[in-house]
Amino acid sequence: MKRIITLLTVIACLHSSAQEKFTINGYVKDAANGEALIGATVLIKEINGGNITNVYGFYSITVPPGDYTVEYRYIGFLTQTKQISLSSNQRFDVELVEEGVQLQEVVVTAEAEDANVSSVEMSVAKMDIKTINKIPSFLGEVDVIKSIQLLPGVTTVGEGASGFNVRGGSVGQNLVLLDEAPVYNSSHMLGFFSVFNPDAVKDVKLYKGGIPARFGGRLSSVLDIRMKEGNNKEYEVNGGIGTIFSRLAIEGPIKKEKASFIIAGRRSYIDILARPFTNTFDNGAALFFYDLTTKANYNISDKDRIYLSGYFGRDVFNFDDRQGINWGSKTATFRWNHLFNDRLFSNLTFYLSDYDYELAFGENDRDKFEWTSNITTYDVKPEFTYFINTRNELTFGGEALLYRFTPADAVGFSDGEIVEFNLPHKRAAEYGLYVGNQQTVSPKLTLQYGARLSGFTYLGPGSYYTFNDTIPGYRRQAVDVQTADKWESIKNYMNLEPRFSAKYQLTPTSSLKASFNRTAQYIHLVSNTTASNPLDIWTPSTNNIKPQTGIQWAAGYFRNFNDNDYEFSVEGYYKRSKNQIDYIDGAELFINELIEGDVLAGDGRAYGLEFYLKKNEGRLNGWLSYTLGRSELKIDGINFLDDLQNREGNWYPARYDQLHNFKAAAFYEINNRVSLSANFTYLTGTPTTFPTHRYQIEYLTIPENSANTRNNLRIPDYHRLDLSLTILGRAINKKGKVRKNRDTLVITVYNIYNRKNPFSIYFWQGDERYAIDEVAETKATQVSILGAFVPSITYNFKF
Amino acid sequence: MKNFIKILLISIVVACEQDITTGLPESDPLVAFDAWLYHSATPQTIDIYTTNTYFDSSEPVGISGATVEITNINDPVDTYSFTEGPAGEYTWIPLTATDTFATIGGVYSLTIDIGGTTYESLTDLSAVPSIDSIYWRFDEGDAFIEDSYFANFWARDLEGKGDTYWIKSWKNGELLNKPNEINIAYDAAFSEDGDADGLFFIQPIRELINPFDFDDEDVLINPFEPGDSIYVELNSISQDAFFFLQQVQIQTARDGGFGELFAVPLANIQSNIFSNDPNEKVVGFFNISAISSFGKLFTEDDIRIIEE
Repeated sequence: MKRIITLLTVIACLHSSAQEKFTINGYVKDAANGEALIGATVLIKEINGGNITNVYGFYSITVPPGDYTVEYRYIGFLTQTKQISLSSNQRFDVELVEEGVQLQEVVVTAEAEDANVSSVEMSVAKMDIKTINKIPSFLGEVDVIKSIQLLPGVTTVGEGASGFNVRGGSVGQNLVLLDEAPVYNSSHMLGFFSVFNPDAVKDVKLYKGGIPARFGGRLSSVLDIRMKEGNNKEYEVNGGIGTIFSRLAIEGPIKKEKASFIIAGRRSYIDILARPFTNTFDNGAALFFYDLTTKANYNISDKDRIYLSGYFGRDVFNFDDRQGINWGSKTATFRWNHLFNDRLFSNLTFYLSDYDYELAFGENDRDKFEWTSNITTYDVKPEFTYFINTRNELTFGGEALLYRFTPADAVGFSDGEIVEFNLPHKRAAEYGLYVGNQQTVSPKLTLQYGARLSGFTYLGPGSYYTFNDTIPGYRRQAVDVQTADKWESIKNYMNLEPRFSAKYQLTPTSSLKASFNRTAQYIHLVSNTTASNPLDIWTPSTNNIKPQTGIQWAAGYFRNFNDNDYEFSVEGYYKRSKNQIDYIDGAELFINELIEGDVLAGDGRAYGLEFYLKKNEGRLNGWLSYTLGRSELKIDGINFLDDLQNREGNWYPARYDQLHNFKAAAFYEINNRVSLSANFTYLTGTPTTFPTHRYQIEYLTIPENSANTRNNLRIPDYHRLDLSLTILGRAINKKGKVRKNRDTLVITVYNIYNRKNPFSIYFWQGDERYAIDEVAETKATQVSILGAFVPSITYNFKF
Repeated sequence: MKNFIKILLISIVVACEQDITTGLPESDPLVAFDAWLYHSATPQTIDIYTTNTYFDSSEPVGISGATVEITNINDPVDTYSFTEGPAGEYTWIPLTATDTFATIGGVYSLTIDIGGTTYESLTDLSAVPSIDSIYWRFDEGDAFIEDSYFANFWARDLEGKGDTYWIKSWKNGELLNKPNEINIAYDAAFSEDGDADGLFFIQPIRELINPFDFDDEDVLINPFEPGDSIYVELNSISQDAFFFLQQVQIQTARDGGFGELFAVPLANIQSNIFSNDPNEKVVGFFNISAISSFGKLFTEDDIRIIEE
């Protein structure tokens, strides 16, 4: 607390200034469709200072009166320059024109940006939707999450695994936000596709480190996905017909320049296409997913704007009309942007986010089993940005979340007799207060500093348990149970999370950056499977499960070459974390009220070096990315080797430890209409536990790791090359007129050299029965989730 | 799970598997005990041997010269001595045709001495309910199964929470002993939280007595045709044995393919036998089961229509 007060005092001092000043502010938008441009640079030449537009496209700069040249810049757009004579506060809403679009009346210059060198931000992976669209993708379906995996520090354990890993963090340590609302499972079809419809996505930004104080709740990263607002000038229809699913998005003005909407939907149709060829789906079997993404915004006045956005999606796998699994997410976000004055921008967010799954088994109504599980979150989040002067930008705000967990509502019928398996619902509240400042200390030195005070309360009603102590790795027994009333606080936690980043400009084209952050995570993704999957359960911190906390140090060198045509960076990071959760061998994770007795907690560490080289311009462009990294865990009760008495853990590689992570993406424009894209991935094989010995009980042959090691060997390395060819439809029709409709044909081949990349190796005695007294033949089997190359064709259209 | 996999298979993506040869990490072998015994008037054998390395499918080497004794801890007269036959095989032989091994309700200690090191374990012998009947259910085939007759056994869990069972079955005299044919129950359901005390064994436990074999196209082969016979054994097991077998099932019954996405990493299974040397780990298990059984020849009269 003391540190916060000191910080506030410093900030207050920064604001003391006798001279009268005026503010220019406004929004920067895309001239074609009125979409706000996020991260556009607004530069006042005379003072060589300025501002970057926020996620709503807003900027505000306060300077003394005078004549100024103001430049508005954005990557891929023509720079616009305004001469102003400032003698009062002025509002300039600016619309930028995309490169390649010709307009006569505006004098414009296009130049590449140096934001990666000049910005204080580090450890950030950004990708605009245009680049994402160019990357060859699985079955030709453009994918946000697969695309960011081509950037340094981001990996996955293999095809079919849900989610992604950032700098040696687990899947559950990523905060995935869609228009401010967290998405608890970002995958369709297990992990083959992500839930974000590219037609509705505007901007994707992944914070791997140097996480600003306004974000909290997860240890490793924040993936901030912003949806399009919808064209507020004219109606637009985008769509695509693909091999496995089709998309359609409609957007347009509700009230021209004032209000607009977008509605985008997708549905897979392999089940419909397959119906004539197989009777698989005749008995009610189903296999499909769909999602609907929608948003509307209304510009009430110069000072107020509201947004309403929603996502609704579901995956359905049914074996027949009674049995199957389905899961899905729902989010709804309401936001209100309000300008208190020329320099104080605010946004108030309310959201609801829900994830649930259902399982059903059984042949008939007398004998069946049904199970549902979900997590629901409500949040209110006021955020403020105070543009103090050209050297200080203060952000502050808070957040209050309410969670409701339903671990399992299950009901079974045995010959008509009911068996209920319900586990008690759990409630919890999480809250945060933060303040941060971005300060330009000198033309060379920029700092971003702040802190977040976060708290968590595990709430009643319900029973809570006290467990006995055992040697780590053995199940702990409940020795006491107490009951809490509704809303009664069972356990409180609080953490101060300092955040700091600095940039020092070495030369106009190079800089050094460093950052530190501490993060706390109060809800945990429970999983003991080799890969994350849709049935993983989110569980709160309780009196027995402590919150995870982590710190990260990072430093980097950033350099641009050749007039910003080439970008280069190298970053090193070191992370430590506490209370990393694992389970005892044989933990029962499903329908287990006493699951806390099966939980183990320990420490984590991860460190690495990330190299990134990008070519921005020219007919051949793209990037190379290489990460050398380690991620290890040390948990008592696991990997205890010969310490049988205390079972003290030794460091072992995490399942997502991949020493080498090399990615290359290249785009080549053959001519105006045809372009070729390629990407290559190389990852060190993930570690796994091998048995050393075998023994037999009755007729069962059982594997044993006699040295008590975890993840003692690795599966073979993963590598893959994908290619795609994009052909743009003609822009001009046969009569020589410009076509209103545009279309593209994308031909993709995933895994072109047909490598059977291993997902895992398992050990077993095969699938045959042995006679009594016969000894089983044990063997190792390697599984590849994708056993072949996958070609596909997608047709995209826009009108 | 198999159907789940099959649906995924047709969704263009095809998982593939191959058997591989791979080295194993070097480490020391352990002493293993197979002390899985029955409440029956037949010879009972405990095997003591050194573990083979994982890919070594030869007969393991027995450990000779051990003294092996089982005693009812509440009744020292109720004691059984095991004598070594072939190396590492220790057997108790009933004296008469009605001389049954162990008594229901008894708590038994196993004490083994090998060259001065003592190994000990405890288990209890519980009662087992009888099997009332076996019927067959007809299921019309689809893409995943042939037209099939599934045997169902009907038995009711004993009153009182915490009874645990292993259900074994034989089709035409062949024991169904694949790892994915392990069929265990906690009361009448799958787990402690199942709250299924005193019920008929629930579906699918009732039906897991069938052979689940698949043809080359992954279609389930009809488990029974009229004329086939079935023999089902209900074995009472200790709660520790239930948790042990639950782990054995997880570690040995591998679906492979897409099932690997849901697989649990390899983990050691805790033995209930302990060495008096705190730095020595052993593997194996001690359990005594009571048995009830039911056999039937499948005729058309045994088909029961279950209302949907």
